[in-house]
Amino acid sequence: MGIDTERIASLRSYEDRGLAIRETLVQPRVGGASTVGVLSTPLEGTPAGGWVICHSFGIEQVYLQSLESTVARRLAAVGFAVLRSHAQGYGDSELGAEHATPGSQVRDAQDAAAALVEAVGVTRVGFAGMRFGGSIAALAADAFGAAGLVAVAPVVTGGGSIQAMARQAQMAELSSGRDAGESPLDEFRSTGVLDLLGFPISREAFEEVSALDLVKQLERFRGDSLLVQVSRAPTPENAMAGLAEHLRGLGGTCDVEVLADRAALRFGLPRYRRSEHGRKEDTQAGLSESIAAVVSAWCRDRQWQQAEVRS
Amino acid sequence: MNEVPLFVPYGPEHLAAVLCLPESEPRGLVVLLQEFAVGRSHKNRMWTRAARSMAALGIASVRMDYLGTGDSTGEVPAVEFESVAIEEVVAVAELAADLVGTRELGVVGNCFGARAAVAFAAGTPACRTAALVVPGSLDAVLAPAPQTSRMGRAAKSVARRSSLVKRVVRPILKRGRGREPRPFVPEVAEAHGGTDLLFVVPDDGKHEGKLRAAAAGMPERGGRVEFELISASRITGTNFPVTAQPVLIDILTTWMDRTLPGASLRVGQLAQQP
Repeated sequence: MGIDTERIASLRSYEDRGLAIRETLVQPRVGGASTVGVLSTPLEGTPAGGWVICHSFGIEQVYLQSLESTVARRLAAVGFAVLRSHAQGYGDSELGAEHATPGSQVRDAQDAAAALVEAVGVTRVGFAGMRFGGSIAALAADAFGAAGLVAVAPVVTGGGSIQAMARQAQMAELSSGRDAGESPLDEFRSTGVLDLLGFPISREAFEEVSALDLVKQLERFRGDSLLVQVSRAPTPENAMAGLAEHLRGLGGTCDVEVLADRAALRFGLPRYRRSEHGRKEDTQAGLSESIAAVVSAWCRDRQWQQAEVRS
Repeated sequence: MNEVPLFVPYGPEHLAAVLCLPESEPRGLVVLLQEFAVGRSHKNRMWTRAARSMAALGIASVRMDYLGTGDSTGEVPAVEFESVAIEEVVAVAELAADLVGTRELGVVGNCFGARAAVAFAAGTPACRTAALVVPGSLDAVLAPAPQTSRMGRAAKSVARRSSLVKRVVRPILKRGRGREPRPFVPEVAEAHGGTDLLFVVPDDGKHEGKLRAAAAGMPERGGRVEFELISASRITGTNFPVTAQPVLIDILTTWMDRTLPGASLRVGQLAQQP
């Protein structure tokens, strides 16, 4: 018996007639090494443009992955070609987590955009992401000269966000009934590697996250952007308003949507929570649906004016 | 080593999976099952790394996203141990075994995946070997503890409110609980005999004892039951500290190498795969 390569090739893609999309598993090269991704395209017609979904950073990548898949499918259903792939250091990528920094994710997102352009021939590309993935998307859109940006609950400034992740890690350990012992940050100071729920953050990555400031770092993005605030209260937050103002100041358009939802505080945390012996429930289904609906509606209505794709 | 991503048809849905193939003819195929809602690579790519370690020893593997998670389609509002994703696992394993051309199967499971793994082993005669990684709650492999009586619940409620009462009552409650060890879920006993079983647990002095007690109460059916301890603080259900991850990967790879046909006779140092 041998390996059935022909049949394997036939299992690379599937079609969803209900959404009128096709999804194909691809293995693009990003950051100089291979990885695995999914290309979502409309079944009929030429794609109206392309979107690259940028996953989040560290352990958040695990928690947001299903929502990213949902958003990718919905964008394909409204006419776009969408690529989501693992940056180096994540998922099925060739290289390990020691290679992962926010900067490497921005680089890999741009490589993914180039792969998308090559694969489907779109000339207008945008970047989309959630939480830290939204920040990666913004930085990639800026560097790439992209036509569009969707950032859902982006981390606007990084100072304090690693500390928040460390606190969350400690809480998770305590809630599991274990003695959390030394704080991850104390360990980081002595070892140089921050272990956040099993994901290693190098000193370089730590410093890049701490230095993140989208208002300072976004310098030339002039495309259309959507910022989605996810919060319990419907009041616009200062950080989001400031980022929107900055994006408009650069010469682009920027819409802000506020999604007020009771589950907002858990956005970016595990989606399923234990409810009783051996049972876990999806606590963010409603919020996830709201995000997918807002993002796909905004993208469907986009008329990109000044799209450019770097050659 | 070659990795091939696939969409496995599953009714109207599609399950995303990655087949990891060794350079040589595979000795067998290992199905890697993680906690629910964690992607097919597991946290910090533990399954990706384990798959590559196994491939270096001639063992193929498949890692999968459960229905409604990762790149798989579908929606799953809730999951329960009692209705684990066994049909999904069977669909992926059968297709992967066909594609690879092997009938020698093994399975690895962590947390929710451990229950799915043992259920798969119990229902799959070709499954020779299973490694069950249960560092957190043992609910995946042990039957629920007997319900506490109304009086017991009332005592617990009082104890929660008073530290003095807690000091007095809790040891009494614990003594009562200690007499009857929790047995394995039926799937473990069903798998035992046809499948060699490895339990991977932290060396905290609690997990191993409970599992050994359950194993002692299981009818002898000829299969191997072994235990491996991982020494590290801060291990929880699916969160393995970075320093413990290579140890876990080496344990799993070594076990599969020992229990699948054609052992490579290699010694250690496997977890260095990127």
